[in-house]
Amino acid sequence: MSNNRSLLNKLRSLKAWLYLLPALIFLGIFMIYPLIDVLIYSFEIGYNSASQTSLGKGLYNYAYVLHDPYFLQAVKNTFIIVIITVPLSTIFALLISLALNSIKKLRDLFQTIFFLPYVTNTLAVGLVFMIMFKRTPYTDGLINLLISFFGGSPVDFITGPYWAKIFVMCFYTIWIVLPFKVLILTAALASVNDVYYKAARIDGTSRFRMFTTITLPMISPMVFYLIITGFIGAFKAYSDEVAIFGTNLNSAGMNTIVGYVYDMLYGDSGGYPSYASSAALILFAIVFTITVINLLISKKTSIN
Amino acid sequence: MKIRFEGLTKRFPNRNKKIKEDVVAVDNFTFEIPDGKLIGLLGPSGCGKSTALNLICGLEMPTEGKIFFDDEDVTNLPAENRGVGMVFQSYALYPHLTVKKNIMFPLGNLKGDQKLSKEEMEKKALEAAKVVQIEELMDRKPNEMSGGQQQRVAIARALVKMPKVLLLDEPLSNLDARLRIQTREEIKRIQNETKITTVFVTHDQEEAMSISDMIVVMKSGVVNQIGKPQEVYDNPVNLFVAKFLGTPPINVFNGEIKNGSLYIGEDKILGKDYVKNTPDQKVYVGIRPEGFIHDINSKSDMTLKCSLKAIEVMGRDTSVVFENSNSEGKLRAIISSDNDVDSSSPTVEFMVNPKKVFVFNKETEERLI
Amino acid sequence: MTDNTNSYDKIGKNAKISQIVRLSLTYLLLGLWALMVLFPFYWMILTSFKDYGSYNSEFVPKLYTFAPTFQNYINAFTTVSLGRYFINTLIFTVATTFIMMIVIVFAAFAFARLEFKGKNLVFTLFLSLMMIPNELVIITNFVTITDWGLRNSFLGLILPSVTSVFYIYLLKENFEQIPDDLYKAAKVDGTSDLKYLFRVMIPICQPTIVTIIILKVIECWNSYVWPRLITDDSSYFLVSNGIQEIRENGFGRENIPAMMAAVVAISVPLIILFLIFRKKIMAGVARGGTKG
Repeated sequence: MSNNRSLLNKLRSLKAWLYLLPALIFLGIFMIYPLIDVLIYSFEIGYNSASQTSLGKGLYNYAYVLHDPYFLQAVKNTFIIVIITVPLSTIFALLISLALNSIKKLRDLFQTIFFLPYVTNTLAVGLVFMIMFKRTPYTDGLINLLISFFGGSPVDFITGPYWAKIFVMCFYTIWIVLPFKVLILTAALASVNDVYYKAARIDGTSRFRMFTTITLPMISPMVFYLIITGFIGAFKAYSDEVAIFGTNLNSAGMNTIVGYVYDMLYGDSGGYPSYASSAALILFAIVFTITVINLLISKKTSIN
Repeated sequence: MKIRFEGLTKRFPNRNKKIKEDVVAVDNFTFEIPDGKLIGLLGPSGCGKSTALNLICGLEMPTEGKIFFDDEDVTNLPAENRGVGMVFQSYALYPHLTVKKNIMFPLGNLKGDQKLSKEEMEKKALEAAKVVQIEELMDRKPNEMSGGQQQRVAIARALVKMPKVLLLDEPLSNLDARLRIQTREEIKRIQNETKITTVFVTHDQEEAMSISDMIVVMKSGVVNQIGKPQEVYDNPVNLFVAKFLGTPPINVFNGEIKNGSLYIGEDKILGKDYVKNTPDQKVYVGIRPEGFIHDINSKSDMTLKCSLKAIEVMGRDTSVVFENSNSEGKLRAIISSDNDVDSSSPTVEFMVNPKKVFVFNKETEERLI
Repeated sequence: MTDNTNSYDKIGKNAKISQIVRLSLTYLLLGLWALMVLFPFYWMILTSFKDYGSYNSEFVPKLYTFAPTFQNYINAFTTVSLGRYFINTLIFTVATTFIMMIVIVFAAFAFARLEFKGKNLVFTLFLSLMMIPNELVIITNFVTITDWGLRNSFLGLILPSVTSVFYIYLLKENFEQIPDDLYKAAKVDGTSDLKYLFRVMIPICQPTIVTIIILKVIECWNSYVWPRLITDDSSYFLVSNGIQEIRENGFGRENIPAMMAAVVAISVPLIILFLIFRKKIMAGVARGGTKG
């Protein structure tokens, strides 16, 4: 009897594992194994993909990556993108969502328009941005004409000075990430019960105080969520850069950490999975640290 | 402070977009709310009573008409500047703030000369908390308290800035039955102590009758009757008011005035003394449950003959459930429990107390007698 | 007294004026951003209809054109194999989404409904995998797929992206909201687990399933990095890689109108899909997806 029962339990367990099997296989091969593998790669010196041999183990790959001027450039670019786009896009998104929430007419239309960039192919629209900003022998490009119209002198945003390239980069990144943030914040704002604002109005509360003491605390979990995911997303910036500056980001001086990883892996400068692994792990360490810091801050503020 | 309405009207576009006619939520209010009284704004849900409250506090602006606080026209004054206190149906306590901070919140909005120091604000908050007896809960958050306690906090928050008018929107609807009776007495006590003109909205007539100095009965945006609760109960102006007030509700019959007497079916129930000079016509007859007299020994010829359905003993009183072919559904009479009704009998006969009988016009439903 | 009334009127009027000002500013801000969002779309459509010759002769680009031409679209589909890229992306998107749905539905079902030893441990392990960024594992996956000889094949494109820990988690949470009694009732009626899953759980959780499908389709349609690594034969390119290829080698570098025609062709399917299922897609994305 009890034997039967344990057999039944075993059968039941077996069935459950069967349901999990596909997921386990795919995750095992494409997630867990690579995780271990990438660590090993990153410590293997002079790994040769053809002969699958290495010269030994050590921290050489990390040292190489950290001294590679391309990597340092990529780190610099990535940090600039993060520092500029995360706060700006969050503030813009908050402004737009507040505006959206305070109107009735045309609200649906605006929401639909604002969401459009989310469903468009980043590479494709990036090309449009490139054309609008680019200065060629045939034309100064649309944006430069606008600048000239206001009395400025034209700049080549795509192959010109560093600041101009960073500007286009950040502008495009914000353009791409705003839809998601606006959507989330609009939903968060809409979920704040109207009765709190009514109560505050009757007590003669100014709009600013309403925002700081009612709205912001009530949507703060969502704001923190967006900041954290915003950081993570911005640190992984890559395809937006490709969209605007082309695949050879190193020569454009616009590479990012993720771009560096891929370039090390594959492409004209590729074939070095060890360097790629070290760079990827460095990126992971940075993102992880910043996420933990973010979480600590969000916990602290939500307790107060 | 007294509140005066002059032709106050609020229209909304119909929610059903196919209907072009506006919904009139508040229709031509013209009356005065006396200073320092507790007023119950009473009506079925959707009658516009909450809109009326929102008009008083300025959350909504009227389509037409004027509102005066004492003699000052505040019609165009936004809610921020009206200086009223309001308690919302859901209390609207800020969930992330403690009780103390919630109560202090309105004081933080004062500007210029009126600005208070933190100590003064805390002192005032404590005073307000004492009035509603929650001073030992000051450091809790709203979700750590019972509904009744939250209600008190909401009242304290409304009182702390010494409002000229206190408004309460369905203040008892979120409380359980026992708390409801306790809290309504509490509201009465607070109003008595503070002497602030207080208007509260409710759909529960018992609630309104029990604590109001004056009730305003509304139906579809129109004020039907204003007066002291007992007066309105004893002298309803129309069938709606008669039906709306009183538990158990009034019994309504199809009747007729014939040859100067009042008939229900073939039964003559009241004579010339009652009917006086009212012309003959078909009417509605409303009889309060306590208006039936059951007396086996009476030889009166003016009785209403009904079929007996059940007798419910309630201790002090007895409730007689019966039917009559001139009325729909079950009818109810409340008689003294000394009165023995033969429960085995298929029929029962009542005389009626003329003070408890109201006669209404069949078309307009206005009171005739 | 009348003084007060007058000043009350003034306060009321001021409040009204400031409200009108505020509202106008709000619409202005929204209108400006709407313009910023829409303009690139307008520009790409406009340019795609401009004649090659006239486009290149415009030193000052014109904001309109009176002689729209379809030639660019013909070029886009004939000079480079844009049609091929489309079909590839379609195959990739449908296959990936379909296989992933099967994998995650079964996994979520096991976690939500079945009892087995080590369930909590495995699930915790799953959750911790959510923190692992794709960039970390893509290196080895690249090597793995290369070793298996699956470069430039649909299998190579599809296999690494047919599971998602996040979606399993999302679906499991949703599955768990279905009352236990329903399962018990089904068991009493002799329903098998599999039948219960397909007849009861999936229909009840349809909104979440649709959400996941939508998110996955968008992700697939726009995916660039993995396809770029794993394909160098243009007959396996997806639209993103195709557009990059066109940018760098196609049409001769300067045929921008043709490029824009390709961009329009690539963007339009998702935009149309979005406009049709607008409410569902926005609700779905709001419910729990981050891009990338």
